[in-house]
Amino acid sequence: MKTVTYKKEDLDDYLLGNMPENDANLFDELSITDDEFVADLKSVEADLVDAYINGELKNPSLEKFETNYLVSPLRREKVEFARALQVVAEKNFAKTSEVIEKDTSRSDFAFWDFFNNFNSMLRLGFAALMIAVVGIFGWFLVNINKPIEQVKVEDTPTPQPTIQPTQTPNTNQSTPTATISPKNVNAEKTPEPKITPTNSPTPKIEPTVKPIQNVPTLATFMLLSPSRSTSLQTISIPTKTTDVAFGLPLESVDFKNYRVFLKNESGKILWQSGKMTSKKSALSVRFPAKLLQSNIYLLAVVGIGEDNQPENLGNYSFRSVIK
Amino acid sequence: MQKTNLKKNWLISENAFGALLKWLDTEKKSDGECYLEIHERLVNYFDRKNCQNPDELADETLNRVARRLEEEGKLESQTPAKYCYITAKFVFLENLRNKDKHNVSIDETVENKLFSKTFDDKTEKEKRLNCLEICAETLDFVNREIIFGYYYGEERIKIENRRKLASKFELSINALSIRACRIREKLHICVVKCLEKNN
Repeated sequence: MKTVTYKKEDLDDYLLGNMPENDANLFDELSITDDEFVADLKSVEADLVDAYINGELKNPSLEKFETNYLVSPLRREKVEFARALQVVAEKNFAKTSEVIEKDTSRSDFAFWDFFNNFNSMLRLGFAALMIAVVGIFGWFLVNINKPIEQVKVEDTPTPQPTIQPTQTPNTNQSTPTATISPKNVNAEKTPEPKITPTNSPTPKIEPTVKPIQNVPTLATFMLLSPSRSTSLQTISIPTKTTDVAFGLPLESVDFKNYRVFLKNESGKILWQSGKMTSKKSALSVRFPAKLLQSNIYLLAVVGIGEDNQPENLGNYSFRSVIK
Repeated sequence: MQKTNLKKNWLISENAFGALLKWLDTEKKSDGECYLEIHERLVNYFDRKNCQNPDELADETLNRVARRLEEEGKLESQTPAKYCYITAKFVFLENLRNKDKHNVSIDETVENKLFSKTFDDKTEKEKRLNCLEICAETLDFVNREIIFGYYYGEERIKIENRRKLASKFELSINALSIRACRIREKLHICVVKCLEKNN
């Protein structure tokens, strides 16, 4: 069959019975023989029905919809279903929207949306401000490269290579000055945190902190797997930390994909990862530190099998302490 | 329903049905999936033609194809979908000839227009919502997030949500809409079954 091109409006016309017979006959055929056309048609039909129930259809489409489309009980059923779906979606959207909003790792559009909402004068002002900021930053970069040895980063926590189960917390956890060289900021290696199994009721996990100037400061933690952890693990997060990363050991790697959810004590989802694969025996997740307060949280790991059915693989609960 | 007079007493045998399923199968889909898919497409085709009994006409179409397949042994002149379409066109025309009253009268149209405003009573609405909640629970978290995120809101809010969802799941807007539509369809089938069970 020859390739047929069509627009959304053509599909609207077809569904509303608004199309010349010859064209409609061609679309009839495609609606049975062409998979892609069928998928497009269904999608446009769903949007058309939604537009009707949201009062977005204007005449003459509205009239056509009421006199042609709603003639059929099958199609009225589609409208009723769409109404119900809107109610349920509204009720449930709050839960999912939090996840969407807080998934800051994918907020690619946020800046441009913000920028586009300005009127033109404000845009100019904003652009000028941005240029000034970039200029100052550039000057700063040029100058920072001269006296390399003298650069000091104040108030940056020292990397803690080991995790100390402690019964006397906070007494000697000062945050001495760390001296870093801008030349090899990114090359700085910090050892992986080490977990010492403990009988202590509150094992305390100190982060490995990578102090980097003007870029996110990351604190990493390795949690014990739920089956090995006998008590609530405590992690200390320095106040200036911008991102936290967790290593989550897995009992097995039988699943095609994994997802990790950060939940607060009442079970509310604060963040969720994207789909991850793991061939190793641990998952690694990273999210903004601001999601954590001094409180109890859990990281729920869900495995997604070949059949796309999720299975809860364990809850890694921990107490975070912001210092 | 008034079926065609020709061989109207022909009943599809198990063998003929098996042969039809096999003939409709493609490399991608098998085990009756193609049959269900083409049946659904035929139902929608007859429904868009404003036939009053689209389900029965779809059955009739596939019965005829099965009969022809049994008689001929093989049908290779067209693809299965195209052959079904050609047969459906004949079924539609015959149905139209046999039942002039299938053309919706002006009165019926007006009635439908009025009916359309309030065609679900309160109890039915509640039942439907309950069923939808139950069916939504059977979806996995990702599909729930897609369906609720995709269909929530009006105009600009909806567009924004869709953009965010597409970005989050690394899909194009078109791929997202098709995926959301598939989930919606699955939910709709579940709701219809649930309502049938409860009524």
